[in-house]
Amino acid sequence: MSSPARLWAAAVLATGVACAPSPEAPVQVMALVRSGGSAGSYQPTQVSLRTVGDPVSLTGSVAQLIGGARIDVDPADPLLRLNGGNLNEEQIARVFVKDSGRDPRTSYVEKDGVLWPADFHSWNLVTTYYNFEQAFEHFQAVGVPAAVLGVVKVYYFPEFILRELGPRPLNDNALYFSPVQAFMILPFDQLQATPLSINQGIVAHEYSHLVWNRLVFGNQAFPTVLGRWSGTSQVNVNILKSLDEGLADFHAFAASCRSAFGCDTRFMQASFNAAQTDARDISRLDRCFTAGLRNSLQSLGINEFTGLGLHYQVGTAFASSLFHAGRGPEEWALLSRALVESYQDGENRGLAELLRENLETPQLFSLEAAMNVFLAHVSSEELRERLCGQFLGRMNADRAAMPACPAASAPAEGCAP
Amino acid sequence: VRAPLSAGLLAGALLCASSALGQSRWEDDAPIPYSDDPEAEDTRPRDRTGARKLPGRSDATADLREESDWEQEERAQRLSGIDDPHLGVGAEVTSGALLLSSSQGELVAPAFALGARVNWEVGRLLPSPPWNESLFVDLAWTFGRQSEGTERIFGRSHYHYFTVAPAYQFSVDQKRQYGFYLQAGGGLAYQFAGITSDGQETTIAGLKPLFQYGVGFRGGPELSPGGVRLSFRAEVTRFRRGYLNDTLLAASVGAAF
Repeated sequence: MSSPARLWAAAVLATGVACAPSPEAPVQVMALVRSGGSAGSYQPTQVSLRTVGDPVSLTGSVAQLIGGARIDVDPADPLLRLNGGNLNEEQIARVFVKDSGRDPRTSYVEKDGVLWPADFHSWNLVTTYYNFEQAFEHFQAVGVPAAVLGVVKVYYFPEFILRELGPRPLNDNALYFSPVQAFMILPFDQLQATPLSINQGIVAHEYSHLVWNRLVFGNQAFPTVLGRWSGTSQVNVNILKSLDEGLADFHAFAASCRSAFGCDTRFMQASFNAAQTDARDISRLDRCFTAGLRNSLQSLGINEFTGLGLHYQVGTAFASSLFHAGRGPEEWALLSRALVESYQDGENRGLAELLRENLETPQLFSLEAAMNVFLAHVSSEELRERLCGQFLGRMNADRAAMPACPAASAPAEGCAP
Repeated sequence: VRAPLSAGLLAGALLCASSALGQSRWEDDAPIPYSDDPEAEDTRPRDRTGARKLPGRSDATADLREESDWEQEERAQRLSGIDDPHLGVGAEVTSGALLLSSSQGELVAPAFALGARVNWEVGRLLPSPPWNESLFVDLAWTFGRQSEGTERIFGRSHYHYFTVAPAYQFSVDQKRQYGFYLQAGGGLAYQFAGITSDGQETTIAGLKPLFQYGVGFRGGPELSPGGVRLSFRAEVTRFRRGYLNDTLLAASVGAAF
């Protein structure tokens, strides 16, 4: 073979061998994870991605990560009026997603059969997928079928504009956004601590919103019940919003018990400051649904209520009830299971059924009515008794409105009646 | 005495043999005259020995024809390698933008690029145009770096590309060596990455196969007659780094000898 021919052959060979890594799952990768001895710091740790199909694009049976997307949510978008405004979930998502983005191209260096991310975003992406996988496994473990969870879209660092808030893209947030049926990991700007999607607890919190939306709201982009009650019964909307946040905090805590670091009620501290973490720490005894909070819940409209962050305060008190009712990881897992079973339970009347029944009778729905559904799904009599005690003491609940509350339940101490 | 005699006899015998053979062949190859064609007989004047009578002087030699422009250029090109005072080597520094493959799915991830290269007009080893004037090869190093993240968790990545790449130039100005070129080659990419979390850095490094191809424009006007040339170029080079694609938009300047 002549020299030029050899050169071209080498070039072709180089192109041929320059293939992306395509190992079969489970794939050994390095991710930023809190290990048992890491004192709360996210450090490079070898983990196994059990569900990933393509480690470069980070697509698998749990999540599909998408970069470079543009999502513009404008209620005045004329496309929303197509077909008389009767759009299904997929069509609504297509209206808002102006640029569907591209697959990530995660950069790796392989060492001893382990894929090492080779730049910051690759670390962030791999860890994000790992955290979604962990959240998925938690919810599977507490009884949510994989088919319900499905493959979720995760828009990584999209340009996300909410026209109602302004024309500028939003930053510093991670959220599940039901109108596009997807998660969004927004770019960081002011937040300079642990990026939100590296924080396993925050991803589990957001994943809980997906489970709530799928099971309680039937996977609706704009849940009917919220639309119907927004005009007539804002208190119920405030209750649902508060429950959604509180349950997400509790599930995130319960999921943390599966990690090497262990159960952690302060998982937010890696990404936020101490004061913000304290406010959401469900282990604190002073998290109570006070008379002032109840008054706000009943009197404020949803925008003002959430604008003041009161849905987090009510939610934290509710999640604190769940935390204090349990006495260890096993019971917290049991509670997590009972909660997701109560989201939708057919003839046994879960929360979804309760909402559907009272679509036209919002006055029959209440915080106690929702808590009663949860209590009814706790199989352990002792645990139910303790949980009801927490609802009575911490949430200042009306026992008469909770028939599932065992008679032996005594109001938990620590909160003013 | 016997030896010279023998040699003389041998030479005579050979001459006789040769003459006899020649006569025989002449007779065999002689044209057969047309018996009924009077013009077949040669009527040109002859001397008394029978030989043809030649003119007293020959025709004047024609004027020496001058070379055409094309012939002059072609000759100059053909001989250019003989008296070219240049060595055919050069060195350049490179700067520009390295548009890295975006891990986060954006179109590109831009980084500042630096580099250096030496080049050799390797075509001079070949005997004839156009290859001896158009072929050159670069030995190059290109460097880019990225750093991103939050104050608590951030990463830095360094990219070093080492390549050997032959190129073929299409000249647009022979004197100043302006021309467009096509290039393809290969080498290795050395990649270093570090991730820092809570003040603790973890690093990893590795090599990947590298394939490159691209186009550019370059020139080499003389700074002094027969001396150093200014060497410059602008280029678009695509790197295939493992399974990732990077693009270099760069300008170079240097000297050629």
